[in-house]
Amino acid sequence: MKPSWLRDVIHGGLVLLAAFLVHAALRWISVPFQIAIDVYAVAVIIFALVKGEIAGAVMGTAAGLVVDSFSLGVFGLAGIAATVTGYLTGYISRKINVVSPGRMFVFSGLMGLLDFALWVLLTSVFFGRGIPWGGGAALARPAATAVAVTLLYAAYRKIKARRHG
Amino acid sequence: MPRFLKDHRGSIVLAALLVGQLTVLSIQVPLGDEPSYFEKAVFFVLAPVEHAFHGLFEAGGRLWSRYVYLRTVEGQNQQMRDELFHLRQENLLLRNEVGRLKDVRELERFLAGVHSSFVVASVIGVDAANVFRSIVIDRGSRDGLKANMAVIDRAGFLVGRTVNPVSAGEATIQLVTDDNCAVNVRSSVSRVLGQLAGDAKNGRCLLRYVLATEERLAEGEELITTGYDRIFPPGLRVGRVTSISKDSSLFRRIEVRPYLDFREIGRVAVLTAPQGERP
Repeated sequence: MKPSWLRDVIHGGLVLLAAFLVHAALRWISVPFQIAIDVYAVAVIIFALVKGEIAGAVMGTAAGLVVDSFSLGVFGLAGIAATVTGYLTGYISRKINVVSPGRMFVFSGLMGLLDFALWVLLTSVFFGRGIPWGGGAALARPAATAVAVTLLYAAYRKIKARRHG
Repeated sequence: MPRFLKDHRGSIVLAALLVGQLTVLSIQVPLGDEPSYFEKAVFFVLAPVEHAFHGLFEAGGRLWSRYVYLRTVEGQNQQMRDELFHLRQENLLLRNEVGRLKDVRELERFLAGVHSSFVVASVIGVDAANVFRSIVIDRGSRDGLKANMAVIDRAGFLVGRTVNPVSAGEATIQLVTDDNCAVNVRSSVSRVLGQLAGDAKNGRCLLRYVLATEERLAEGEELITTGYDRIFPPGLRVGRVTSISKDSSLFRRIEVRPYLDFREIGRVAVLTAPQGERP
């Protein structure tokens, strides 16, 4: 039997790989769609909800570093925003009940907004780099994150319930 | 494990991760736009995965378009036959024109040079943080690519230039819409010189360093590269001026809509020959 931390690392790696591939696949749909859906934020929030704040923070760091490695932006900025988001998502979700779809939608939307706001603050205010608003498509990011997290988390709970009979 | 560490495990991990990333940031700042070894390592590991995924996706698309969805094939075939006919005629005319000026052996050498002066590549990924900043293509140092080579789209419009990291099979392209990109251009009619840079926000560009006293430039004018920067060859079409306004600074604020179309950016050509050796 594998130790739980090793299992978490493997799961995290697979979630990150899936996010990476989904982001690559979104290119075929449209540019505004790719701007509006932050696949990496969805992956970090989902992972933090399932595994807790420490795993969420580590996942945030890893996801941020992947994002920055495939970007000409300042290396390390996306990681800071995602790490804080991952940690707070895991921490707050243990303190309040966010299981119902309605609550999950609001909570994940707020976490998506936090991630986006942190990234905008770090990128634009501290480093003076441009933010890809995409004609306003970027403003849909928290709502798109909320929809994706709510659906994926509901699917995860259903699969888990079926597994445990 | 001491009780304090156990009780504050989460906060300690968070603090350690943030300190680690701030360290990475502080290492990056003196490097400027040059990627760090860590950034290059992640790119070199994950870019082939993206490349393979792109291949898989494209194979699926080919399977669908070649064997299932054949509704538009006849129309496309006809259109391509017409296009091929026109291109052959044009090619013949141009060969004759060039042939008038050069002897046959020189002409053959010239045409061989044309074919080896660019590499055609497919776009396999876009910038994960800002789609208007960079793309990743499926050609790399193995195909003769290195940093600072101009990249054009299938219509010959300027897309950007290659930048580091360039791995064996993949390369990063900095788009003209990136705010750190700088292209020396001039307007086609009034021949006003300036430097084009992206706004990295909405896929638009700004023409910089045109003095407020400059009155000749008009809206709708086309911008073409000058070649003065020794990266982009002269004569490449870049975009069109959409608005000119005056602000309180020494320079005019000139917005440019680049010809680069994000929806049509599936295939690009990298100009590999140095500027002086291009036919």
